[in-house]
Amino acid sequence: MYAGTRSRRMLAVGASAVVLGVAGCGSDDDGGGGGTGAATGTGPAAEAPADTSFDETIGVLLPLTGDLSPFGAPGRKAADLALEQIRDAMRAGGVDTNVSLASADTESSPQSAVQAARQLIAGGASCLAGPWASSETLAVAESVATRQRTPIVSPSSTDSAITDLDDDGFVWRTAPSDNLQSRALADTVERELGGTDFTISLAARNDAYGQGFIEKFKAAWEEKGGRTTGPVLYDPEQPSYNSEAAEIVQGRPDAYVIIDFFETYGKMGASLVRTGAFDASRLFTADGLASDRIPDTIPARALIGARGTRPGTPESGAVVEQFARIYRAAGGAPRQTFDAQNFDATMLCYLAALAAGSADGADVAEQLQAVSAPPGRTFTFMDLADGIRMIAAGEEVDFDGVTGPIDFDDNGDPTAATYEVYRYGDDGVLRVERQFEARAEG
Amino acid sequence: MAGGADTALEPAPREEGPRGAGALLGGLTGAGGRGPLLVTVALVVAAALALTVAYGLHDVAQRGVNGLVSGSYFALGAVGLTLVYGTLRLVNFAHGDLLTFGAYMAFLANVTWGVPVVVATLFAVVVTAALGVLSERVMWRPMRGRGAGLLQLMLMTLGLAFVIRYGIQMVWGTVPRRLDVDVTDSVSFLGLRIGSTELVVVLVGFAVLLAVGAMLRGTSLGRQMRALSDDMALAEVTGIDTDRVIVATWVFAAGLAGLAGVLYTAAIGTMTPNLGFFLLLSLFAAVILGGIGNAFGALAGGLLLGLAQEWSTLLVDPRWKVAVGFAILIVVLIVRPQGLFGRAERTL
Amino acid sequence: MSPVLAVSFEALRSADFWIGVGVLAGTYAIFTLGLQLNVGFTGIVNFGQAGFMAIGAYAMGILVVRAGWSLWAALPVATAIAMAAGVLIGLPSLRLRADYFAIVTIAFAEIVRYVAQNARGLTGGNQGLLGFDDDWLDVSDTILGWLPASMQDQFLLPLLIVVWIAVALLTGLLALLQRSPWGRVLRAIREDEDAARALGKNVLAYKLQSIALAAALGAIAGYFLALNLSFLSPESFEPQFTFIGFTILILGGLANYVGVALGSLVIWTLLEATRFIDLPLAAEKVAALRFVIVGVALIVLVAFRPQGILGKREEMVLRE
Repeated sequence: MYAGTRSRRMLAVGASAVVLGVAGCGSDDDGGGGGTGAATGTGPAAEAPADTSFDETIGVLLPLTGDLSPFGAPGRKAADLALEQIRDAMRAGGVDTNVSLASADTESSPQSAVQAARQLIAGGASCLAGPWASSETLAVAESVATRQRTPIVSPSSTDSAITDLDDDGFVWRTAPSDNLQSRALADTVERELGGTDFTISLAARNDAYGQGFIEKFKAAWEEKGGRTTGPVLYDPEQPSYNSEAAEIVQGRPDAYVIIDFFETYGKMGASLVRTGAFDASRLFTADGLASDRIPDTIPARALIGARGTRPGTPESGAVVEQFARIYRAAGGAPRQTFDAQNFDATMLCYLAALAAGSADGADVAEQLQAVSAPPGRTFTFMDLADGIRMIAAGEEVDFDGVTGPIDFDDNGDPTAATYEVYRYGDDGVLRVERQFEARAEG
Repeated sequence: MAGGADTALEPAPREEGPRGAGALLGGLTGAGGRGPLLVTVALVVAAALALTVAYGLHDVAQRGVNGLVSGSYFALGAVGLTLVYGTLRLVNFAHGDLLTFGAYMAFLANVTWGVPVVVATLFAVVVTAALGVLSERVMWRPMRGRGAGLLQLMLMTLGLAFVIRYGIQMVWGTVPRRLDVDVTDSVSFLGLRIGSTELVVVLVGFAVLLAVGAMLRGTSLGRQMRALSDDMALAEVTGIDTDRVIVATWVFAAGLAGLAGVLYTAAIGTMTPNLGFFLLLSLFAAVILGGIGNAFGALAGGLLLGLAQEWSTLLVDPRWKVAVGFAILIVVLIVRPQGLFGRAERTL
Repeated sequence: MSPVLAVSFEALRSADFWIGVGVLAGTYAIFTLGLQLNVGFTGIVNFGQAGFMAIGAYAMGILVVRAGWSLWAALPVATAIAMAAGVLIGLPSLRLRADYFAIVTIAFAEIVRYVAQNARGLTGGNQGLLGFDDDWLDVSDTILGWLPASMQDQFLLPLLIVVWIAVALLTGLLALLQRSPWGRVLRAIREDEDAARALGKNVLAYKLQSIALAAALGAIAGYFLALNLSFLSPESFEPQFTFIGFTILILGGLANYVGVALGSLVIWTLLEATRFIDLPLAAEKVAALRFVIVGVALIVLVAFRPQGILGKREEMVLRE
């Protein structure tokens, strides 16, 4: 499904300031302009020097409350970091774009996400980083992104349905599709259990994310020759989960795969432990339950020892380490799942606008693929000033994010993913055990 | 042909009734005669047998246990709701939010102030009872004095529900909160499992319900409360201090609601600001099932509702469990509006 | 750390804000017209209006998205379905006392919402239903084309225009109905049902008609809600929206159809303004504040000015 290979070059350049004389051309937009008609994302890369003296507001949609709230504050911090990097690099590069961020809480709910997105756009945002939950992204894609011709770049929506959305090139994501992750999880379970001759009990929250994931996992596991029971699908708003929990642990399965978010799992997890037959060290899960440490809302015994996969960042390399450094130096929220993805999303909103020479949503949408993928000279946030200068000069570029090369394909998905295998230790802290790359053949 | 003054509890109280469990039974049989009680018991037993044949004793028994857990907080909440209706003819749409309020007061004491959970529960009960009395003094009594109509009062309870619920949200946000109780330990007996906290919930719930039943049957205050709900005007004429009794009713109703909220949170594990409203319809179902205005009926209704919901998970997907409660509500109102233990309601 | 802004008072001067308020106010004006008919003119306490709204909106959405109908064909059918639901729920329960009836209607509305949440295959569940508004968007674009160039990017403007035309038409229609013999019987039922019955009027039939009409109005409001968001989710039909409707009803004045539009504008300006103003509070607390204000408004109104803006005091008394 994903085309192309990726070339990865580690640039050992530090954040050195480069003084540049930028030809701040006051001329018209480059060839990527226009705005009517579908933006296919393959708009011609800037061939003429770009106009850099425009204003851009990047909207950040965050789950500050609700089921995904542990992701919200770190996500905002990552967006703020991106803005800081952008502004420093612009100063160094002599570029005078006026960039600002505006954020709104989606409450982890699709309807609130739509209203928050509208609010941000009414306030002037023309490119949105977010929303986070797949269900939110599907709603915002339909109701806001295409109708108001504003691109959205989700850092964490992994549902495979997003790939096929008829979105005129306005829906993008820096997180890979669960088509990949469900297979990745199945491979991980096989490796951790030492084979496939096992019965796995499946359960998930019943929404785009949970249901989509668990069904793909089931197919992947059964294809390997394994057995499954379920899936038991449950609602976030049930008064009690005892019956579902009893069904999940019935028959003492060899392992469980449960796909959920934090707040709901707080209740389900408690019910599971109360059955007396649940062993969290046999639980496998995914990104929805991957937090730096087990949140207070979840009883520790429901997750200690559990393992899972989540989209992550490459294991090593100067870019990843530098990101970790600036993140730590900024204080505040600790590292969290999808923080780097949000950093990259915010960056891309800016870089595409710069390439388009305008903050107009359709113009930005047209440049997103171009600035993230070959052809073009690669650069990362560590030599952002260089990258900005190149874009302003009208050159083709290929931005590589903290999360990897990104390289958006025609559907707005990144073409390869790094996944991390993690485990919750006895102290409730999440530790990454290893990384691997996953790529679907297409 | 105005809707008749429905009886609340028993007809004119005659003598001291037996205490404890006997009080409960007495309350149930007194209201409508032995008939409804026997029929109810027979139905429950028949249902249990049928389900056991189909699904096996273990499943039926285990879900029965789950049903008793939820039944105990349904019953506590329902009794309060029905007491207020019985005495004041007020359908209190804010009652569910009294449960929420109780839960959050316990959170405040237990988690924020570090008080042990038992003391925190008492604190929650007292504060919620105070809130009930406050609402009586500040809102309901003045409105009664002005001759406020049904619609006006109902709308005011709705407004109050909003204020309480969203006031709680303003202070504590929507993040689910936990009490400092163990939600993962469980005990097993006879092959059935129950969470240790859930067990405590059931025991406390039943003990309190029995005590309330005894109070209503055996104390003079209880008799006065029942007299008031039977016929307020007559009660006044016989020299009962109606104001005092009304305040007492609120103390019990709100206090029980607060307790129900704490127990619910302990059993489920977390609390959120819409906890109470979410339960409110189930409480209405319990009240109406038992016969509105009849405290013992509410108790029975609560337990029956809990059992019905949990046993229904054998028949339908557990997601629909809550809808079972709503369905019961509608069916009872349509088929037998006086519920199981009430007296026939005059209809329009 | 760079500032991440919340939207400030500035937004109140933006066209987007007022258009948004206008669409919501119009939608809930239609919603509350149904309540006015029931409560103000028939004496039925309908606490389930959000349920009829949901039935109308979801029926429309399901017909378009799952059965492939055109929007224009789906609208009348969905309205008929909502009206049938009104009759269905009214038949067995209208004979009950007003407070029992209120409980039945609220239970009904919650069941509808619950089904919407759980019948995922049909309604999309919590994820919602999308993709039903293509036909409307074509019309909307056409209307947008008629407007001056400066307004071209206000994509909600056509909806605003259409909803307020609908409000005007429906208000006028209801006012006319009220003056008709049918309306007079309704009024008589509200004031003294027994007298009306004694005069040989089939009270139940009139009440059923009143409920059916209110359900239709609820359904129409549901369509506007759906087209506004391009998205249907069970969240939009929670009971608090019925109670917001009642606040509008009381504010505008019972037994006054024009008051409904006025009340709706006031309430929604208030609700949306608190969303947009930059307050030193976290977003979810601001959201909570909005509803606390609604609650207080309802209490204060009912206690001290039950006639609202345009109503008459004696209308508030509902026979028991």
